[in-house]
Amino acid sequence: MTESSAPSPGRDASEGDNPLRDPRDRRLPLVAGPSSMVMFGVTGDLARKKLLPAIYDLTHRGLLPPSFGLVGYGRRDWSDEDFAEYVRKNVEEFCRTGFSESVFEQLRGGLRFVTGTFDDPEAFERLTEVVGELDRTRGTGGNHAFYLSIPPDAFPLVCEQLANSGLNTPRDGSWRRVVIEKPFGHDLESAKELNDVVEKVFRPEDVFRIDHYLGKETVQNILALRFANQLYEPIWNANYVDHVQITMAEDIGIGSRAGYYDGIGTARDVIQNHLLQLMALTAMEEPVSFRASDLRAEKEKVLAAIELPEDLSLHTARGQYVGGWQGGEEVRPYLEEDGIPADSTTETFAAMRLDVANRRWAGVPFYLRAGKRLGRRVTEIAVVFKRAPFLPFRSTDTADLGQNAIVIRVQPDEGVTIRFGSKVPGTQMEVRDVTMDFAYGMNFTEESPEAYERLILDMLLGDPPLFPRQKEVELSWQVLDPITAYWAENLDPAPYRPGTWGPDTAHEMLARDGRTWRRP
Amino acid sequence: MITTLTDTTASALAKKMNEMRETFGATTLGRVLTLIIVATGDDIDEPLKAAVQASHEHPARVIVVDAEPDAEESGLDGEIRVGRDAGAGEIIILRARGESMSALDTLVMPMLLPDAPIVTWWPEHAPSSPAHDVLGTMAQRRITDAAACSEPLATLKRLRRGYVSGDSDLAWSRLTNWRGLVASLYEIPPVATPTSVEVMGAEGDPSVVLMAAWLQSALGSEVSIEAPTGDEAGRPGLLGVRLHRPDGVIGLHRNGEDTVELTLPGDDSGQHVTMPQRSLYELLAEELRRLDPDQVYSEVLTHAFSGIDDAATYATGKPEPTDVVGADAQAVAATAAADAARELAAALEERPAAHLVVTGGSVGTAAAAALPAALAEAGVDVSRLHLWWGDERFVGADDADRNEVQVRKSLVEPLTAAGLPARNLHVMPSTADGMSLADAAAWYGQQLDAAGGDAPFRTRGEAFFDVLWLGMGPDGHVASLFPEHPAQRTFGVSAVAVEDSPKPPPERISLTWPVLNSARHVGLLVAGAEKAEAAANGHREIDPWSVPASSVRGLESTTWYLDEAAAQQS
Repeated sequence: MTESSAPSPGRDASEGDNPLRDPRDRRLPLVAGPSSMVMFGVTGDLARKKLLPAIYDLTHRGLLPPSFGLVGYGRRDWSDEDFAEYVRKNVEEFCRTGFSESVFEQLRGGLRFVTGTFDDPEAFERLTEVVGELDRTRGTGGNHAFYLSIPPDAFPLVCEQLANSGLNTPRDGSWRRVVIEKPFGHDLESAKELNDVVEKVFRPEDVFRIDHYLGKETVQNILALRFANQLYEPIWNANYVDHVQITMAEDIGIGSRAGYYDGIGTARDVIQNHLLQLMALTAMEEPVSFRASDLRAEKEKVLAAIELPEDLSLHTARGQYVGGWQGGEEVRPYLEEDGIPADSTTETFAAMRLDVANRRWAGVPFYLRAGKRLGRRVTEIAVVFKRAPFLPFRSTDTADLGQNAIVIRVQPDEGVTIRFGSKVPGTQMEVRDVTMDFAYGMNFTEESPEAYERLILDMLLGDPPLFPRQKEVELSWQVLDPITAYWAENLDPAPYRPGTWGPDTAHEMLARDGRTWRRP
Repeated sequence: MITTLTDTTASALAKKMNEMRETFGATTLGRVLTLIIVATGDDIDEPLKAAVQASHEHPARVIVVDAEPDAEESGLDGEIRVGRDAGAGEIIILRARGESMSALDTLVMPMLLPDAPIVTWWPEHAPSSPAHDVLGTMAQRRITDAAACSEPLATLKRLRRGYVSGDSDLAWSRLTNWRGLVASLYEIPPVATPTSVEVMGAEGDPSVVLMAAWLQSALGSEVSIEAPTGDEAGRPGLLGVRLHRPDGVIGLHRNGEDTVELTLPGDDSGQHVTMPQRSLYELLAEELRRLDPDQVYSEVLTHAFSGIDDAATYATGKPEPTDVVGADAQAVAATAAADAARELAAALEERPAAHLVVTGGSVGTAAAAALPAALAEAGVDVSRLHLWWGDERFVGADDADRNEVQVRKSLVEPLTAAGLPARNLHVMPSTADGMSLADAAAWYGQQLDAAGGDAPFRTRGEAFFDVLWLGMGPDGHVASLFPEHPAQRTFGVSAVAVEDSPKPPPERISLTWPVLNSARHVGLLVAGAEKAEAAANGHREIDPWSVPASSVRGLESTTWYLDEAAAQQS
């Protein structure tokens, strides 16, 4: 290796041009290359509580390059110092790895702020200058990511400004990337429009859609569990699986998200992205490899194979929480939350049955449910197996025996549980359900990073497997659009008590199929 | 909860632990690995604290093996910690006394988690070949810490010789953050391979050496080590790296416990980078994260010490051999026995124990027979003498082919009667010991290493044995290292299994080159005209592959004890 080798355009330096990054060197931390990030919407809740702390935590873990630059863009009339103070305040409050003055000092050297509105071309001129200054003084190398932590209706404006100021166009050997957060539209049509806006300005492979769920360890562990083991795959099909339940429950209300939440509702908020992604990972066929394109191909296939129930009134449920006492505190009904119109028909609970029309899953319903103000905060995938076809016991022996299940807990305590029957010790033959539980490591270890840390780092490294592509987004909307359309016409949300597992209609929906929701 | 058991057995400990876990209600916790900490005589508090912390990330069963080889009474004490005192794992501390040490593997065996991977860690005192250590051979991952040993660089070099994939050293994990940073700095445009690189740090520091080797092997650039001067002289670890590129210098310099200063081409203002020195816990946690072999480490280690694979290196640089010629085999044997007795007596003046390696063959057997009387005459305290064998036929315990059987009546029994303790008699295993040939050789090597020979065996200028006797065959072989036989190629272990020996019986155990070359005084006992040519060749240049007899040298002396017939051509 004697000649210098500049990274070829469009290809990331971390992919093999650097002789110091040996792919076999699994120990070497994947430190992002020289780069900076421009953040729009830096004063928002997400930026305050998640993004800024994640950037700090990455710095603390030594995974950002020393020269990393972070540019805030917003209306506030802030100097760089004001911005630095703002970052410090939020990092101190929300960081995961503990605040250290020395780490912040390192980050601080690369903090800049540009004051401006989204429609102010002069401010974008200033932004261009600041970014260029970072290239010169910090060595960010012309690599810049734009994080749009802003409402989707502002996307067209910002993208247009970025294009006009030339910020979207990389020089030779460098990259420009854009990060957008869910919601990726609110139906198929709007998702397409949104995408057109972004992809007019950035190349498709430079658009990173953040679904923070996909950055979670357990979600990636689904792939390991399924495809690294011999044990599960043979029974992972309609021959043995009775049904699958995917639950994403929150015990809190909508909080300060009224402005966004009302009119969107639970189905669009989380089912379209998180739950359908979890379902796709659970149901997909084995990918050819774990390359992003191969993974996506399988996910897209299974999303395209999803079938809706014929009668949506029987197999979907929709709810809205009322007020009352929940776990020791009195909570307001949804309709009295700040900023919610008293006649809102937005759902805070959604449940639906989906089927997958392929050989592996024919006849196995996937039940998805999500909601606010439910019994506890939990996200899990439960694969429930059929009963054994014959039991050589007296029926009283097996009275307590349920169905075997494999439960993948995504949060809060990530892990896997297997439920099976076991004899109760004693002279009587009595079989009862027991659980076997595995939790790898604990949440406070260095190796269980926040999903945002993982995703921001992957984005800076140009490593795409964990980011959904537009095709997946569109397929998800295709699944959901008929349901939300039906609901808007025919089904108002049913009320449910806060702290319970949703409205009666949800329980009836499963009872119709002769099943019950498991208590997560 | 802590429970202590004295004078117990491994199975009693295992049973007690199960009881404690049931009482504690911690019966269903998942454990991902067993971590064995080998801390013979060392302080175990620090490593244990690190292991407890690391257990939060890698729930582990931790077995600490502490040993007192010189204890009067042989036996085992144990301590079990579960619950609050053991983090997210459980801890068993084993204190082996005396002879229970000779089977350390059976001490930990009942405590190992079924199926789960085993990691063995030597916080200090690294064995030269962790993979062949009695507690290392069962592990998937073997972690040493050269920097914590008394001679860090020499230790790393020994580890290089004994390297087997799956070995790892904390000197390497201490570099991880540095390496990540340097790899990312390489990408600062305009990207160009550095023309030269400087690595700052003490030359004797293993991390500094590994960093230089890594950069050199990956970049192909010229890499030099720059020792710190002034205030920084004597500071341990890596202190900085400078990459010289056409556009200027990218420099990193540690300016504090937690910080590094970065200078870029065209910007020497000194950017502040946080990179705290890593704690033992972080190093251990990183090691436990991946249990597959670290190929990059292997290559870097090889790169750091190249050209040390030649068996001749063990014999070179020592005094030239001298000849003692006697009339016949009997006379030769008597002289050799008298010399040996005198040297052993001298050794015992200086050290608590003396080690003698005996051999078979006609002269060897005769010399052994002459030894009890010679020892008595020289006033040697036989109770402090250790008896080893240079090689052995792997046959039945009482087979007349065995070197030990040949000297049992004449040497072993008289010495035992004179007070040689049974534990000082290190007979090579026979087929009656229930081990395969490979296991038997490994076991004998482990006994040698455990007796304290490990470092001297693989370090130049040191010796473990006081007197080492060897016979020689007409083909020039010594011990069971035959000319051009592949068994000669084994350096990492102390004893090698020899198959397809050109001389029957085909299966043997032999000491290896580094071990044969680890004596103060070497005596080659040779008689008979048929060996004259080989003896003459043995006097020429050191050439282990074709003439094994040329390649064993004592640190202080090498003597050819020849009868007249054998000395004809020398």
